[in-house]
Amino acid sequence: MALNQDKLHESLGKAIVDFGAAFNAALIRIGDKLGFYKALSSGGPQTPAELAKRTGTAERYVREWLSAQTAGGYVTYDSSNGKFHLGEEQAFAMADENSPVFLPGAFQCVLAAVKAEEKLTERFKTGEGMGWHEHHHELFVGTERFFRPG
Amino acid sequence: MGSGLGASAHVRSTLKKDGTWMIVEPFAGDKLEDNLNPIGRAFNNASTLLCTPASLSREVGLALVAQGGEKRLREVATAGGFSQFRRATRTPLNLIFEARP
Repeated sequence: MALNQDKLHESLGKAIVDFGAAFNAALIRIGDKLGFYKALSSGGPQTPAELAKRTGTAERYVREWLSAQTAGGYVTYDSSNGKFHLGEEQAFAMADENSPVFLPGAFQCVLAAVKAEEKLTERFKTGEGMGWHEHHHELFVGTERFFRPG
Repeated sequence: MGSGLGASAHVRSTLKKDGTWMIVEPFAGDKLEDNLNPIGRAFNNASTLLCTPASLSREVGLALVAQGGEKRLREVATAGGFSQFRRATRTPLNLIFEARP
């Protein structure tokens, strides 16, 4: 069997994006819960230590989170001064609860789906349903926040 | 939420004669090949894990799913007693329909 190297690399490239994106649901929820996006939005460019202090969190974790978010395009980094900030569009989507494209709620739904995976695998075999009420409460809050702006 | 037809009939029963039912649904075409794109993927994923199991947990179990498309939604509205149905507008993520008695 002769593999087409270009097609293989294309598939791997997609999978790498998905791999990072799947973890990002948890990272977005963490930033949403701990107020990282809002603090970045209101505080302007800041170092990991400054963001950690502003949000009452541990600097080492915050630094790692900022690196991950920057690589994903959710946060902007200025290598000349080592500071992170949100561009206007990033803030509009991640920090403004009233924005029509406020996104963090959508990722709460993703987390709820991941939490339900073991139950859902069984439902695939039996054909039974899984009621809305059987899900983690993250789903209800996430759906409300996701659909609120329209 | 598990029964689109039940919801449709219920809304119809509570609506005034000149009332309007606005329906916000995930953006979807009528056929699978119309939905093989990033938005279709996102909603199909959510539908497989959330919407379809929720519908199947109910007595009706129609499983119209999140990627229902305009054709099936029109059928649901019509079956619920609405005589007029049209796509009112759209956003990047959602289709907004208008149903009248």
